[in-house]
Amino acid sequence: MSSRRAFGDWLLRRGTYWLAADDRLAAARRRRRLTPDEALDLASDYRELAADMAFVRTAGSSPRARDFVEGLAAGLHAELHRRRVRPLAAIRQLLLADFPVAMHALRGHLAVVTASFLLAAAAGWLLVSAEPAAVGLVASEDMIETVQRGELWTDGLLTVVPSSLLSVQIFTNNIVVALTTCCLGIFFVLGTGYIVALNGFMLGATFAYTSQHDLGLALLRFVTAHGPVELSVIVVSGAVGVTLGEAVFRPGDRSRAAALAAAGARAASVMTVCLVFLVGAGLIEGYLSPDPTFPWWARITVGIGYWIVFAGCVTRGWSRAAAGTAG
Amino acid sequence: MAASAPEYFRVDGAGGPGLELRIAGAGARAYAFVLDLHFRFVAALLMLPVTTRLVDGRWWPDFTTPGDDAQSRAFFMLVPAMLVYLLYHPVLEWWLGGATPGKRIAGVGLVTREGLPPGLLAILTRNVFRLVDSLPFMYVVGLLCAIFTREQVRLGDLVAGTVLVYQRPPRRADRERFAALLAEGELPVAFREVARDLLDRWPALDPAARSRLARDLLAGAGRPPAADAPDADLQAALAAVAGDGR
Repeated sequence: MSSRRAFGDWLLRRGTYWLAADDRLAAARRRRRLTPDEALDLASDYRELAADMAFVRTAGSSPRARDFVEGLAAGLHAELHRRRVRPLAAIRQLLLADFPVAMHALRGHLAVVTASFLLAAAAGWLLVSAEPAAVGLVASEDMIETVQRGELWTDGLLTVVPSSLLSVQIFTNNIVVALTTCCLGIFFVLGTGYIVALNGFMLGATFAYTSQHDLGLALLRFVTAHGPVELSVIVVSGAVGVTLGEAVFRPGDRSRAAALAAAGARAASVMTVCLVFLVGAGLIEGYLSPDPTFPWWARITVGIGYWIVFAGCVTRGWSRAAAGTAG
Repeated sequence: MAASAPEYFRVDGAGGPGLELRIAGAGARAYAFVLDLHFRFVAALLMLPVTTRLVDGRWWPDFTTPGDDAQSRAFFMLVPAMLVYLLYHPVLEWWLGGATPGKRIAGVGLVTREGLPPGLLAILTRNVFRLVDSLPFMYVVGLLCAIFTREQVRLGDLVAGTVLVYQRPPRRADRERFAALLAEGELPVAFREVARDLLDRWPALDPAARSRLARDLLAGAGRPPAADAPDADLQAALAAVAGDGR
């Protein structure tokens, strides 16, 4: 009984302080900036609460008091560590530091995924060259019939769908494919591997079939402007997916949760930039690629030029990253 | 396994005992999700008449109307509603510091491993991983992951480094009650609080257990009840302890 009364008396003394601290926290939350004195008051409140929390947890028998103190401490913790939101600086940090460093760490995985993609493309080409009917594995009946008539399924796209709509449909689809490729890597890389191989196989098979009908060059003309960056992003998404899977089956010295969180942070940086490039590729594919008046030299210029910009972002700072300093 | 999962998520604090945040399990997570599902569906539904009115001059879309620009009209009518539905979680979680209306009602919220509200990239990551967590249907993968992981997190939380915890900031009613407790006199605060808790839980407790608890508490407060006092008298005595310090 006496220890309970002592605890009750202690609560009476400290409770008034806690309510005042709660008022100061509420005032700080409403404002974007604090004066130095206000910031020091919050820090002092946090230290006082830390000591009170230890006592309430071990000696107290008041659940409501504990809930109040814990909630107040959590609020002070969040407020003291609140980061200033600086969008432009964050974008700069992402593009100039985080993304290149993350891509440098991915270079081995990039090489493996690129090789897998090219192997799958070669397999698709060889299979359909030897057995044209096999194109039915990756192409719809409509597409096959169109090619057999001597036309590409991309001909006359703009007469059916306006460019703006076409661009949005394309880059939305590409974004979903890229994100799915990345995320499925968490299942021991199997899902990622399947999507990368399937895309490579489809590419090789489609080119083989169109070449058999003298449309290979026409298809190449269509994809030249947007294809290099689109395919590169698929490969990068695959590489990111591989790192996620690797974090699951080979976390190293860390726990799987810690390895996944580290891989996830890297994935977020990489995919954010890649998705922006996919939007650009979608706009090119919607506005320029289907336009029959857009000349060859312009398509090559846009395709290679856009890819050089992408590659430049990817490899920026690699030499410094390799030397151990970032961005 | 869930049976040995920790109840609290500990965050180290500088120079102190650190925070102990109670981990929210699959039940609270599912409850919050179902609430948010309703809210986002209603929000998307409310967006549809607005966009239809702007694009087509009607209050509800009519996709049977022919025209050269039928596809474009349909696109501009439907896409804003779809965007509201899809961006509900990432936008609100970022704006509300790891919470959504459904999570607030369920009393839960997202924190990082440092006990802080998650940043934009972490929020985007955990929401993108809904593509995987929702497989094969109705978030089976995500729920199984939340049931069987130590900190009861889904795949998106694992990759984003976030944890769903109970987060019930002191409400006005709690604060006023706490302030009233402190302003009152004679009985130690602990007695009044335990009495209030017992009264709140009275209907859910076993009759024999609650009678014993009430008698012990009243005896400890110096107000022992009669041996044959019925439940109603015990409750009245507890209410007196809870509300009156004199």
